[in-house]
Amino acid sequence: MTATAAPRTKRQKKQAQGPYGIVGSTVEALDERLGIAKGGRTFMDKIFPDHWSFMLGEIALYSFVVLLLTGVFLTLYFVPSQHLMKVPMNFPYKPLRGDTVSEAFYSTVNMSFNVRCGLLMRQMHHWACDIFVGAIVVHMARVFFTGAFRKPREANWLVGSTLLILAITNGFLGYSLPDDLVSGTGLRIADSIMLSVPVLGSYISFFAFGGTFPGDIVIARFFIIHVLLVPGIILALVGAHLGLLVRQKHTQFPGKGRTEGNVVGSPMFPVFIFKTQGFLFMTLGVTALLGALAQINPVWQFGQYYAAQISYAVQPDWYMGFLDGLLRIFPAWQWNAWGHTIPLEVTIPAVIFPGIVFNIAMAWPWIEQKFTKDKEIHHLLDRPRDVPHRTAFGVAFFSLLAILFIASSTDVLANFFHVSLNTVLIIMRVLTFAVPIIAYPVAYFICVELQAGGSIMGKRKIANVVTRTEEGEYVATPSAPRPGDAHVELDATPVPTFIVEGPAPESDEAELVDAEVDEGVRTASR
Amino acid sequence: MVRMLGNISKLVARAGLGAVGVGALALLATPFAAGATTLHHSIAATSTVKCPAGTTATYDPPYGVPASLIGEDATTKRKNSGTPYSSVQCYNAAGKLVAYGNNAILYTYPSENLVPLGEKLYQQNCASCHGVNADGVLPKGTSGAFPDLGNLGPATINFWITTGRMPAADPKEIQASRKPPRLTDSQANAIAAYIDSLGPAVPGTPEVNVKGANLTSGQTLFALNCAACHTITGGGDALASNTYAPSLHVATVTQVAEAMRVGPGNMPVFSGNLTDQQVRDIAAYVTESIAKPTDIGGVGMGGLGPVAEGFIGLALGVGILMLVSFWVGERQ
Repeated sequence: MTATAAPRTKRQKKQAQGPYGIVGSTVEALDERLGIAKGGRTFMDKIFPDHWSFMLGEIALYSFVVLLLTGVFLTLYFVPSQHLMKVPMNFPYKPLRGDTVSEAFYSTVNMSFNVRCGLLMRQMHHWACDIFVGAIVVHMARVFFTGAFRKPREANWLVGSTLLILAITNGFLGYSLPDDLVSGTGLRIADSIMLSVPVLGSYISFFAFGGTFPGDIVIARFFIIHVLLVPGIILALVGAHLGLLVRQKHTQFPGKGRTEGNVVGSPMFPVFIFKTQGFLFMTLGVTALLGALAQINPVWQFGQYYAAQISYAVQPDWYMGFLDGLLRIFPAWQWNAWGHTIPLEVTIPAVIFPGIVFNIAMAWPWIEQKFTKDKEIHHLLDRPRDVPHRTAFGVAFFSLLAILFIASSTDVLANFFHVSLNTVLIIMRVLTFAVPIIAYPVAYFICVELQAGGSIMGKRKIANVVTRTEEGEYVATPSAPRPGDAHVELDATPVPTFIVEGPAPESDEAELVDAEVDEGVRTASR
Repeated sequence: MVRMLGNISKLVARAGLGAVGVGALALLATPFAAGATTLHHSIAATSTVKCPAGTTATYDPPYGVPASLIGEDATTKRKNSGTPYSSVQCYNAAGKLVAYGNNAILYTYPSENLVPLGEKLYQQNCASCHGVNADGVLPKGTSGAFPDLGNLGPATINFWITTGRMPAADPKEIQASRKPPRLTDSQANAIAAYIDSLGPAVPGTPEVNVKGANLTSGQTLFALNCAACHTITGGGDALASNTYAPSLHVATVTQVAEAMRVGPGNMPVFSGNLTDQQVRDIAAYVTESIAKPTDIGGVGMGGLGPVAEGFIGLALGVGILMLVSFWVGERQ
């Protein structure tokens, strides 16, 4: 544009900003200085497959955002100190008045009773944590059962598994902070697990607690690990996780127009970015609803932790449940030799078993490669039924963890069903072995049966009409699609070019070079 | 020799505890003392050493047990268990032990006029198991299959009948369950009068004066003494071999105090280690804070804790969000 007189009317001002208005001129200004156009284009053109199961990881991502937001609020009121103090006599919760408690416990209860929104933030934080780990597990299951971890994505599988371990760890650390009776019991169990490590046990415990359990430093230590160290690592790994995702591009289910050489889905802009923002708000909303309507961890009812006190029926948060369950049902084995005791009843279920579980999980891409000898690059996903051995193994593995999770509430089950606790214990021991062994072949044969049904990938399901003939025979015939119900697969079309090279169009009604931006399905070559 | 020394040291310790108690009572008998509890809540002093009007005080360390009920070797017996080791005892005109030098709990004994009625009720409702002489011996059948009720004291009888556990729904059950009581409170009193007439025993039915109770001390004592079985939220839970710690959410003040003093079923007798004031504090905490928990922050999960929370978090939290992704995503 040549220099003209200063714009006077609204219209002239608008014209001076170019065809894309103030946004366009700002972006251009940034591009001139930082060269954002190239990266920005890659970002905006990133293709996201539309299948709903690809959104599961986002639940984890956005509940992590909720955790960060609410967590920052909590740090403003929480005092990570085991220093003892006297609760004021006018405290709202009567059974605490005049009690001597730690500052950590008092500040937690105080923020629940006296700080505006404090309890809501606490509960949202706790619910978001339960959702965070749950979403990671569900997302991981999707990746596992569809084979998305295969070459070239092994590294991202490792990053993801590490994120799961870190999430569980940080959940436990956070659970320990309020210094209430229940969290103290959890700490005591953690201490016993550390002590059960042969040779090194007592050193590890003394190192963690700064002396004998419970000491007076552990909450301050756990606090800084919980709010700074682990979240920092999680944040960095989430960055790596997404960076690898963009670099390697998404996997996709096979279907019309989908090959190993392309990705079919919606571009980041203008489709996916709004979808995912909506998803962020949905996650925030669900967490806020849970935080407002469902009570979680009412620590004032539990009271301050003293090492001499214990409550029955204490369980950890759900993601630690499988550890607690195995601890409960494991036989009381001990090994005494040369004046040393190795408590195998703790070492095996709480140290060796989780080690095996997480090692198998992390090494799975290579374990599978060993069996399949498959060194090919895969971008198209498997249907779980088409890889029956992997699916069956996954089902058996998850069913083992599920049984152990249920075993963490042996007492609740016994009390609820009026069965002897001893009986429940024995049943759980049997189920721990029986269920995975039964689950494997059952899942395997279901997969094989489903394979026989043929693939309907990329097609809409139609009803099977079962008719009975005069002879009494039943015949199943697929029905014709109902009028208007016939599924039309959209043809994959190239990504539109948003950034126009050469002189910008003059007119106000300048259209994007490639119209039909809102139609949805796009494709990009790898 | 060692054993004798041990016994002597026990006696000295008990006497010492009593002496410390009296001293602490004198020192801390200020209005503020109600809330002044040490970290370990060792001795909570909430009232002065006084016997109720119309009773006579005896200072008889170290046992708070009437001399007539103490055996020659001065050990705890069936008929005198369930009494705190208090150095002060207050007797009413009838010679019954009604208090231990405080107004926290008044132990009451049913009137002797009720004995004939009690006997009738006993024969109708209890004798089929406990025997016509209340000694657990049936005319035909194994002796000792059912408990001997002799020398149990009114508090025990009152507890089992008013909680509906007796008469039992199924006498062969390992642990009788709480249910709506079949007999009224006055009928329970009458039966207690009859049992007491067979062999006088303590404790009487406790009348707890919850007005002066200290909930803070109650909370700490509950966490220390009760939570290990009943859980910290009082919901109760399964114990080994078909027994269980019952829920405390429906228990009355009297029943909580009775249970602590007489130890029904598997429950230990809390006598020597809890004063009347402490029993009163715990009973108040159970009936005020545990039965009516401060469930701010939404729907309480019934004290089930992380099991229920994990279920809600996965089913409602992750579940709804998965439905959302199913809604916004492609579905085939």
